[in-house]
Amino acid sequence: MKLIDLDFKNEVKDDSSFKTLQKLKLPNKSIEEFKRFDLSQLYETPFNFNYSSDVSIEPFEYLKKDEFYYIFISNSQFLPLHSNINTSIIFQEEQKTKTVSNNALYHLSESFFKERNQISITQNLDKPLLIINLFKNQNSFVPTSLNISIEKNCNADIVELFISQNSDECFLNINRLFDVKENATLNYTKIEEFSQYDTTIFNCNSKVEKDSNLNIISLDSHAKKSLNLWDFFLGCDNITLTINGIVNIKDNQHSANIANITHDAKNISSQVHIQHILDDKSQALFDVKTTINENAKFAKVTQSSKTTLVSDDARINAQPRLQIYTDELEANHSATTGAINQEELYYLKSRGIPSHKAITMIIESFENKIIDKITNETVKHFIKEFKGKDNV
Amino acid sequence: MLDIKDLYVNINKKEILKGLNLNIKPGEVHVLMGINGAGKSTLVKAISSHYDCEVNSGSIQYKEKNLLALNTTQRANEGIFMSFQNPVEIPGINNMYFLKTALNEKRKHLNQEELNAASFLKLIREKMSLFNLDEKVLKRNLNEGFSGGEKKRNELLQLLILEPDLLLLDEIDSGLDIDAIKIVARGINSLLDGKRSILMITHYDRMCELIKPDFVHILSEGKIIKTGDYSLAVELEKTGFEAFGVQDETH
Repeated sequence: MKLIDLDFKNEVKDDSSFKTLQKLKLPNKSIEEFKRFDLSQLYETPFNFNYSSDVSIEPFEYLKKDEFYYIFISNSQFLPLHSNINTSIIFQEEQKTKTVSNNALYHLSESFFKERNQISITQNLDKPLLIINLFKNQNSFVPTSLNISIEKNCNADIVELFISQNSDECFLNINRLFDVKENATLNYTKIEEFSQYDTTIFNCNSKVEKDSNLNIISLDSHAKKSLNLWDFFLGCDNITLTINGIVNIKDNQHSANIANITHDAKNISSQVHIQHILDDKSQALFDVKTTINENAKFAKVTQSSKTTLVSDDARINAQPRLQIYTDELEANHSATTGAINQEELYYLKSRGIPSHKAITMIIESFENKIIDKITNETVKHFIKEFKGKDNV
Repeated sequence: MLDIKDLYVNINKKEILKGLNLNIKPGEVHVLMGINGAGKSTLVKAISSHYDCEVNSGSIQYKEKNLLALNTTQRANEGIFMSFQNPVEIPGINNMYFLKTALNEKRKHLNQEELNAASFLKLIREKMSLFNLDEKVLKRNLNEGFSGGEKKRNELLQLLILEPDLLLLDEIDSGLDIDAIKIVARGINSLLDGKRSILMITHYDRMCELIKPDFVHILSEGKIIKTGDYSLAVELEKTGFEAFGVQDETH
């Protein structure tokens, strides 16, 4: 079955989302942001719409760590027998309420779920939560949906792993809704280990209340094509939103970060920093639009795209965009592109490290700089260990 | 060990070395002195294949190999170590990870077994305790936020771990206080086993006093214009370069 004609009515479980999808239509090249990240071929690919939740977790037992609470999710199905959550972490399927989003791809996934999977953090967590998503499919379209809710006055560190063992071409359409209540903080890290056959779309939506903080770190790699769609309407005072991302791709991989952020209340800070490392014939898109409405006084806005082109054939398209309707704000945007620092490369080579390995070390250093921004030491250590960094 | 003949080197299309000759035998310590712009750093950069240097003509034989045919990595693994005047900071690369990688690359090159984490830690702790080096630098990123002195001590640590055959020391004493100079000199002297050689650039007599050179060369306009023993460095300290006919046009 193909997505192009939305001819999958028999599979639909949420009519409301499906109707919204029909109205919005799947994004194609006629939409500005998708001109340089064309998905039309994906919509025309015949996919299997039936997928199994029977993924062996045996190879991933090592991820059951005492210093974390952990949850295993296999092809969107929660595996309670392989989880160690406590009473502060509630995993439930709940009745859906309508989500406002102009992202058709968000509604695409929602169409396949009658109820919504939700993780609620009701008290401060004494250790971080690790969510391990496992995928094993063949030539499938796999929608997933999860709400992560942080209750009032709570702080939580959450790491979400996406590990794919997919074969043949697969399309993973992942919905995440962050519901951060008043005076709460969510530090969320997303690590992708997709397969070379995957196209992945991460549709991020949010409900963020006043005096709250949402800090996101996104580490992308391996997928054939990957897209992060960040959609944030910030309508309450004193919100801080940060997105720090790494796009480390090679061969013919494509990657995009498309963000739509609206400031609609006072004293909101939003920062988007993406570091691209592009090798071979890979291509990346950075299209970040931040709108600061007239009532959004004292806003602080940063948009930054930094790119290191490891090869002459790699390409970056960076479009940081600001739409400002107020006078009282601090805003800056930047896009820089360069090659590997010759001085750094020479220093490593002068100590006997071969060129290819020295380049790998410098590329890893970019990732490490982002990982070092993580304040929770357990999370930082885990990520470095998982990514095989600093092995001494 | 090292035999340089009639070497001409350009940097940014400007000829810096103009027919330089130098021979260093195993176990010898040579000191290069000269005014700024004489070509001292260019010489050590050319020996270690810096990307800025373009060798136009001449030859460099090292351990009876044509050094100019080897790339930077190969030269390093053959035992050439250049200590940088201003070591670059690389945030995101852990110092210990860097040192272990460098040592194991050299061991691989020499067909020796790579050191595992435990053996490496044992080795590095031994070296550090001998020279009062602070273990905290191992946990930090490579030279990131290091003071001038810490950077130089980190260069010394690399020297002690990699145990090169030819040490090219480009102002390893600059930015160090007198106690730190003594530690660095002690570290360098500990490596002198009668086989290793040193080519050292310095502006100060203090370092020469601590590492007693066999030869002192005055470099001017891309050539060695005078060679002597340690007494030449002492004389230079008293009279300055002008006494040897060297004009500093930057003054």
